[in-house]
Amino acid sequence: MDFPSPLSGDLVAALVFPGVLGIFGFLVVAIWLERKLVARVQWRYGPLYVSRPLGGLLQPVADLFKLVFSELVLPRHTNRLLFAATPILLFFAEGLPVVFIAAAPGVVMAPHSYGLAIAVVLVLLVAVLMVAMAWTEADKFTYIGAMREILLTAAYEVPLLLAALAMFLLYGTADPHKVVEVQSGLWGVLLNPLAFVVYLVALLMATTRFPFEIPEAEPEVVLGPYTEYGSTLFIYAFGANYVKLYVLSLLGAVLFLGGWLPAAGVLGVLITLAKMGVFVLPAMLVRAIYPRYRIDQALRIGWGQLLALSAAAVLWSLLAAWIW
Amino acid sequence: MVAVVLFIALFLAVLVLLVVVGYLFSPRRPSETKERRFEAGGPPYGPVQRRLLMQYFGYVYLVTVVEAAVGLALVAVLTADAGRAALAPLAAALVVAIAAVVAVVWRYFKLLADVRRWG
Amino acid sequence: MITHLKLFTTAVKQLFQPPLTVRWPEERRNYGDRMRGFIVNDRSKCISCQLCEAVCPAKAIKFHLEADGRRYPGIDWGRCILCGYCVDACPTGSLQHVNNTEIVWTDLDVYKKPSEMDPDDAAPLPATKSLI
Repeated sequence: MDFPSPLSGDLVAALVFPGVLGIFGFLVVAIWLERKLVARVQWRYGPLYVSRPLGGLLQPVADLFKLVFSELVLPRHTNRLLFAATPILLFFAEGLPVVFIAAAPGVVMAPHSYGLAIAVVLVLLVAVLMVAMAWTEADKFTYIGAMREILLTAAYEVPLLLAALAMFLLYGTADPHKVVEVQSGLWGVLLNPLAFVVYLVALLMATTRFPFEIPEAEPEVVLGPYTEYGSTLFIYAFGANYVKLYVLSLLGAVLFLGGWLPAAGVLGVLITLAKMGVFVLPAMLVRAIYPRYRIDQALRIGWGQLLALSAAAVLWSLLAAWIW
Repeated sequence: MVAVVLFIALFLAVLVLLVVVGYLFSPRRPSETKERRFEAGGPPYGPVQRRLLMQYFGYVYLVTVVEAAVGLALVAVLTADAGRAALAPLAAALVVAIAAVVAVVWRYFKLLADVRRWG
Repeated sequence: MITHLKLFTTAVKQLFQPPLTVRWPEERRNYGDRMRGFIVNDRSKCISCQLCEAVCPAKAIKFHLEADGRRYPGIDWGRCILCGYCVDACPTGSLQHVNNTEIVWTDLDVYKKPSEMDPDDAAPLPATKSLI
């Protein structure tokens, strides 16, 4: 490892990337990027006046300060402790899967031979906390949002698991290091493009990006599961989906795009970061492209085309493993 | 292990700290309106205008069953021995499991996906 | 699949279009010389006939007593729709449009009180950053 001496790989992972700094940094960059990209597609400027030389990159930071120092209102009808705790737990749980994902050889907090599988399962578990948060708020809109969240989870969970299964079958392991090692010849996206497509669509569903932005559909249910929140708690409730996007892009970069290959060390971390863009950029851009599906349409996609595609991906992997 | 503990401690500390800072240092002007529910979010009353479609519970039921099967498949794949000889029974089991899932979904998909039958 | 790829390529193409938005007040759009902008009153010509008040469809113009013992029109810019009826109705031509269409104020109080229709008020705002 070529990190400065007091920092070992796992400490870098915990503190910088993919740990704490990475999560909060991604929050800032992703929100800015989304606003900027959508604005440019719509022939606008987007955020500009805060830090003009950087193209308004510090606008989300300014928003963050504004939100942190705005009044924290705990509604009377809720359990005040739970009301404050659930968004924190949600945000924390969304970030937890990065513990098991490696960003470069050795840059992983908990090396585990089933690491990526555990990460996938942790990602899927978070929907429970989202529902808990909506339930604590005790509001009609949050109930409806939670119900939609459950149904959307029902739509993407099986395809996402099957896509992961297809890749694990192909690699024969879920250890992030070995998975990337296997991809040194051909990347996973070329080994099994079907699984990649399924993963990309399931990622859009899981992070409720645009065609599937059903739980927080603004014209219908205000802000869905986080209607009641303000101040810092709003950052957590709202930012949790961005953290999920971060985790799933990192997982996707390792599973499908060869992770840190062809480098290692600091350069490897940067390469992983760049490869995450393959998942992040479309997820940001879809806001400018798509209208919103109805919930039954999303379910039909999930259990129709997407399930068929993911079953085909598993069969493809079986065939590939047979030949290889 | 140190890294995991450090990550969890630091992450939670930052999250809690931001809330505490906001709570302590933000200007406060409490009012009765602020502590109420957001706009029309109160419990509904009067005649029901629109029901949640029963159709959707079919999907939720489906996912609880299918997910368990896929989870079993994941475990089977990850714990399987390496080599082509071990692949054959695993592949057969996987194909049967996925075929069963697809067959069930295929059979009831039209019924589930047709909103008009449930509205 | 191909439809979605087309959607994405279209969006990416749009990314590199120059923005249409005008970054006011740094950029100004040219509306030509005959736009109906601010309405100003030349008090040396005004005969206090109150025709402008009578004709105003938005009821934006009200007359008020000044220190010299005469009544002059004042305009509520929150109501004015810049239709120009008052300018047409004015028998002496004391009411005139000015070529400044940016009906904006940096001070809420100035906006709230009925404007005296002083030509000085109708000068274009300076292009400073402090306005944002």
